Amino acid sequence: MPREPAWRVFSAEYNSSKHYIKATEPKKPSYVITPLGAKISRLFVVGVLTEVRLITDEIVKARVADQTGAFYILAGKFNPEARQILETVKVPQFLAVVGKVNVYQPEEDTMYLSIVPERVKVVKEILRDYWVFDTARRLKIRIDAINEALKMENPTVKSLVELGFSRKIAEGVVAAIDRYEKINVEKYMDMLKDALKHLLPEYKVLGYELPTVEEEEEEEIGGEEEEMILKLIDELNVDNRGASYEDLLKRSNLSPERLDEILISLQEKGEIYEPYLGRFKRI
Amino acid sequence: MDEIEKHVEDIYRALDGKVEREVIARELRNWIVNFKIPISEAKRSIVSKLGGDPNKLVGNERKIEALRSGEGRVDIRAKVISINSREYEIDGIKRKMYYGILGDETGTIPFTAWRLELELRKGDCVEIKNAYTKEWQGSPQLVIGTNTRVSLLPPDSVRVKLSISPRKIVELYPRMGLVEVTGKIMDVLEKEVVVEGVSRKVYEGIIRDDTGEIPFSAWDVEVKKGDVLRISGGYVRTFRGMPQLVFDPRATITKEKIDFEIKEIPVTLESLEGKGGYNVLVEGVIIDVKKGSGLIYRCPECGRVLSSTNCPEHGKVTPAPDMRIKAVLDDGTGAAICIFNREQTERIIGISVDEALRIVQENLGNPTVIREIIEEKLIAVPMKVRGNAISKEKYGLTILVKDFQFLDLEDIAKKAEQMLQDLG
Repeated sequence: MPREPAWRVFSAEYNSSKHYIKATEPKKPSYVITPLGAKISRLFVVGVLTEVRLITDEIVKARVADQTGAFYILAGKFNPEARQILETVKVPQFLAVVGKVNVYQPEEDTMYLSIVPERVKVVKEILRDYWVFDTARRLKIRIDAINEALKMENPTVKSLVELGFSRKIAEGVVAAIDRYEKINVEKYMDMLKDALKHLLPEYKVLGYELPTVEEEEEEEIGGEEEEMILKLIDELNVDNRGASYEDLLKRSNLSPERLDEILISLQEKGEIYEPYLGRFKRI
Repeated sequence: MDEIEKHVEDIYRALDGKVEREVIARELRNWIVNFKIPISEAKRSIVSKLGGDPNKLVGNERKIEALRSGEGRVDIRAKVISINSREYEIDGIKRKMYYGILGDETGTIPFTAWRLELELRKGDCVEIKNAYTKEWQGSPQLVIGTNTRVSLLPPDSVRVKLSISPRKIVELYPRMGLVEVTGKIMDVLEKEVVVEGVSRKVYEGIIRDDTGEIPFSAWDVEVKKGDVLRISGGYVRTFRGMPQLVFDPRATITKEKIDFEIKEIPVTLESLEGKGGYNVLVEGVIIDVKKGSGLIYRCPECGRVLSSTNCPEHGKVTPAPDMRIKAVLDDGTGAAICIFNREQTERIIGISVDEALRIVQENLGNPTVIREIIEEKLIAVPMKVRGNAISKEKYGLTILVKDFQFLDLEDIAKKAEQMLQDLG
């Protein structure tokens, strides 16, 4: 059995995945299918560690940002080495992570993606730049493959392999086209170019190095909204497992982005915690 | 008896019902019991003798050229162009599978046989009934399964049209059919081998084109180091976990006047999966360092890695310290375990075996301290590696590192600029 490769994808592509192929047998890999046809079981990412939170005694949740967004890293009791590193390093920090895909799917249409780390290492900035370039290069190949496949009436793995794409790329692209109704290739092409631009010297002098940290803390969280969410968390905590993210989203009438911000803010203030992924409780 | 009845029915239908079944059955028994003629041959002859057209017997008989992937119940008459075997294990029982190439007057096709009741040899003509096809490496492959019947036909009863495709060495994979390769002989060794009592000359070595290198084995064809040859009609098999080019006097061999330099372009690890590769260059990131890396102890007699002072073969020994690294290199398309030897390990961590022994002693004899130093040095580090990639079903790819180089990352900005320009 060949080992599953560690895919290089930007966080925006990974996080917008909506399809998941669950392993049918133990020890077989499960895959996330991204909209651009990466069929991922393992990833290699290099970004900036911007946040580390202790969720429970045994689980650490961390954010690793790239130029397109951020990966969630979830280290539990089976990842002691990675957890130890995450708990001890100071943010911000350049970090490399090798890990497996992790999917939490409370409902059919809702999917939360994170990475369970196998290896975590503090690295230098230059490695992040290398990763961005390498990831952009691979994204370009998949964009080309998607474009070719979209031209075909009935795209198959064979027809893509005949055009010179590798088998894994062809399989992923065919799987993505089968599952995603509309694939916004343009958006990803713009994202690719943006990511590359950040590597150019003129962008570096602008101090573009750690944008995500400031961006995140920029916006003030409104006190009224926090109060409302706290009340909802109490109200929706039915079976004492905490209020589910979906219920909070439905009842609060907030955008998912806004709700995320408020939940993170409340967790940072020590008002609430996440006993299970996607469940929130008062402390 | 069912079997005989089925054949009688075949003949009956081929004769359009003009001859009674009893007559056919009597005739058939005579041919196969008294004259011991193979069934297929007997059937053809009977149809002919009784005034019919033997071609009407064909049933599902197909020509190779017309075969597509995913067909069931395929009958063909073909000649064995090459055949090799490989042992595999299922539930602890050792079994043998066969693979090779079959040909008929329309073309060639690779085949796999999970079970063969008769010993097939190169050059045998066979009738295969109830086989099926599946896709393999993008082309159809014939599979001889448990319900397939294989019987011998008279020698040379099948003519073969050889479809030979010119290929670059990097494209070669086992069981792909007959190939034409043009390359330079880099190295060659002459050997004498006795096969079934006949002494034969084998020339083994390495051939190179501008995409890569592959070991070859030439039977009764003299090749010299430095020759540039166009070999038309060789085939590729797996040998020691790597592809090997095999040819003999039936191949057309011509001398050429071109020279080849290997391009230093890495191949993807995905392209090596399931076939391996000789002296390949790959580029990726080290994403894991395996147990058994660092300071190890070997039996001084056999070199086996020991965990105590007892060698399973040589008993009580004084183990000799050594160093090595088993690290996973991943290029985003696939992964391989790279094995770095003692000298390479010393180069990577800047610590000699003697120093490593001292460091371990200082850490209360815990050898994992050396592995930690290696992890610190290698994890998440991009590098280029050259070596033999060995493919094994169970373990995936292993690369025995001949040479390695850490990637120079200083020019990333320039590369990014270039890519942005190309994207417009």
